[in-house]
Amino acid sequence: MRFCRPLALLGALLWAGLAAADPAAKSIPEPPAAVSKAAPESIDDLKAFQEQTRAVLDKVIPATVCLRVGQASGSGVIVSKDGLILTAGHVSGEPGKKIKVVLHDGKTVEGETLGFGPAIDSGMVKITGGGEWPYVEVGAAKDLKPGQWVIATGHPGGYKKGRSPVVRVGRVGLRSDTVVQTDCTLVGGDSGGPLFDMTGKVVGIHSRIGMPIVANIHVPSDTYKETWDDLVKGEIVGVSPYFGVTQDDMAKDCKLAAVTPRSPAADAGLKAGDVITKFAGKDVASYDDMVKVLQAQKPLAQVPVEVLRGDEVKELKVKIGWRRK
Amino acid sequence: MFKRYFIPALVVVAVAIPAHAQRGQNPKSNLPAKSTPAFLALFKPTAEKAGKSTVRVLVDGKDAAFGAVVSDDGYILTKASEVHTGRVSVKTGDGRDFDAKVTSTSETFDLAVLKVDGTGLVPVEWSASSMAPVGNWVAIPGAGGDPVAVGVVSVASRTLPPPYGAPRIPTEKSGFLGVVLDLEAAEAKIDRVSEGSAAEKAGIKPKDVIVSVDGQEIVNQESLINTLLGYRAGDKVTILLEREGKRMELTATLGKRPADLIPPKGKGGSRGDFQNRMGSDLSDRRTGIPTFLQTDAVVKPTDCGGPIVDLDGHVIGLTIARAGRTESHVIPSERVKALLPILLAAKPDASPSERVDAARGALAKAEADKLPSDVVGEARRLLQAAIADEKWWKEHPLEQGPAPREFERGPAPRTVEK
Repeated sequence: MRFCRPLALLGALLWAGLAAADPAAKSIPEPPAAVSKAAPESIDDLKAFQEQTRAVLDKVIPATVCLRVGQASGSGVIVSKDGLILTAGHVSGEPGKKIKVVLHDGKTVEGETLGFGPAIDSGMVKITGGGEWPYVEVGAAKDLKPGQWVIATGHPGGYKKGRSPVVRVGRVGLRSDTVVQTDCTLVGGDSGGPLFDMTGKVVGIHSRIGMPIVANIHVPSDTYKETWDDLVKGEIVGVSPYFGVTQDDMAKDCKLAAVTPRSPAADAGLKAGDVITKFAGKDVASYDDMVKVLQAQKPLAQVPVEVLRGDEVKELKVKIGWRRK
Repeated sequence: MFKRYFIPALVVVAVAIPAHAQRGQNPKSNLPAKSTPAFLALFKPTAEKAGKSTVRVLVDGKDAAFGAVVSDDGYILTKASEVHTGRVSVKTGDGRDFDAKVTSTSETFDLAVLKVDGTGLVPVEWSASSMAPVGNWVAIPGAGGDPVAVGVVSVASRTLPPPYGAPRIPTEKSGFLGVVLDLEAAEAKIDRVSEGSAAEKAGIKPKDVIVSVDGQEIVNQESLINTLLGYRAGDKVTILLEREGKRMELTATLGKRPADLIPPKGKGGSRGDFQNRMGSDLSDRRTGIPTFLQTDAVVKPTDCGGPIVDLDGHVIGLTIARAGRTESHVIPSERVKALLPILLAAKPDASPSERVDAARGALAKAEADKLPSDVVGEARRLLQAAIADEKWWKEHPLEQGPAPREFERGPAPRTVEK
């Protein structure tokens, strides 16, 4: 382990630095009245507003990161002292992948993808290898009101050496359980970056854009809170388990009429005409039985499947897939 | 040859925006909150003073840019790439019209100096750009003072690595080295060398780090790509590289770029660029400014070229480009102030040799004052341009009228009017 020594040293330095000025310990003042006005009414209101913006930025910029998976580049935000990162589902993708985390000052650390929600576009990543990190709190998107001011940070166009996370200020247009729309402009590379309310809490994660300059869509923070434990465990949330077979209507047992190409069933080696007798350790007497057992499985779980092919009994392993609900 | 630098991971979807925000139904509701007339009006008190120093620049009678008045006797700074062709005129906030002449140009910073025959113009008072830190409001005054765009400072002023200037686009004539860069590395590190390429013939190997090309420092991958795009097929280049901690120099004769690596003429259609064009018009020239700060103000390309102020009315810089969906770029006051004496060194009616002397003097002063390297570099480039101009005039003694502007001086000389 030739890197142990310098890394330990670096760790100690980093820790000392954090102890001296722990951004997490920094408190953001309650927003002044001007911030909650539908529109600031004077230069003084605007000045109060920008002072609050700067206080928020002091705390949230150090927690904004760039995530790199191979050549792709997205953004993220650290939300726990031990380095949990919220991002977009299409940035982190499937659990268990290695990912590079570029901190706000350009330092790169290793990370791993945890769970994700492909339907709502939520994702989670963890910085591996220990350490303490500057982080921000997660707020409630459901409390956002149309017209409320928000702040976006991220790495539009990917991480650029010497450029700090890019700040945008705008207002909430619409909010639903699945999306928050603002006029904080976003572009490729911003995906996974955080949207903050004026108290510096994460209320959304950048997800996608439409043609109009005001069509900037964020994943509401609530979904992360609701699925937190599953995301931490590396599970795929908000989806149905998927196998990829079609029932033989004429058969009473679990005989397959067809196997969908490139599906989990096809990957496991199942063929049309196979009769499934056991699924995930449970005896199945009919197709409906099998579906019931399948619905109880978690996507990406490896389960045994016993089939009858002609006179032959075959033991196959299937990795459960997923599809949108 | 080079893989894309990164593939931005943001999915574009047809977003279901409810009726009030649908495109074309009510254009006003498609405006960001910061662009609504009521919100812009809020910034009027802060934009008023700088607005007196802001003029509208027109080309052939059409809005082309804003300009910043830099002297009371008629010198105006504007965005050069917007006034390259056509008849240039200026309209002041108090309604006066002037014909304008381009007297000098900084191609690198995309700045042009205009001269009008007018008096009583109000020059800009430049303030430190640091007066508006990241998160502070900024406003772009129109001619006369009504704000046309506002936003916050998104990124503080920074200087990019060279080379600078307008982007270099690969063509059939571009030289080709034939390497694939290691995208995980910060520096220009070779990942693979293409078979039969100029790089292979020169002896470049995977894991080599390119340090300089013909003395031009290579600080990262972008800078290698941009530097090499300045060469043509057949050009010889001296490459300094680092291999296993040792530096060595190689000579490569650049090859022809494969046809499939030449973007179709007109649009360069990368996904990042496509997304950046979504929702607003961009400036034609929007990259390669050496030093700039970023704001999220959504400014029209024709509203670039003038001053930008903070909430106290301090002019913190000059808006130089609408650069992307999320960004507009501003040359900070410090750079504008440093460049002004260089750009104003020669009188508009100076002879070619007087221009060379003026440029030489400006460069000497910039070096003596230890100005930043991007400014000194531009002073040096302007001296070279003045020398090339003088030579051109010696070779074309029958020419009449003003000296051709640098970009007009192509390989073919102009037709001599008799």
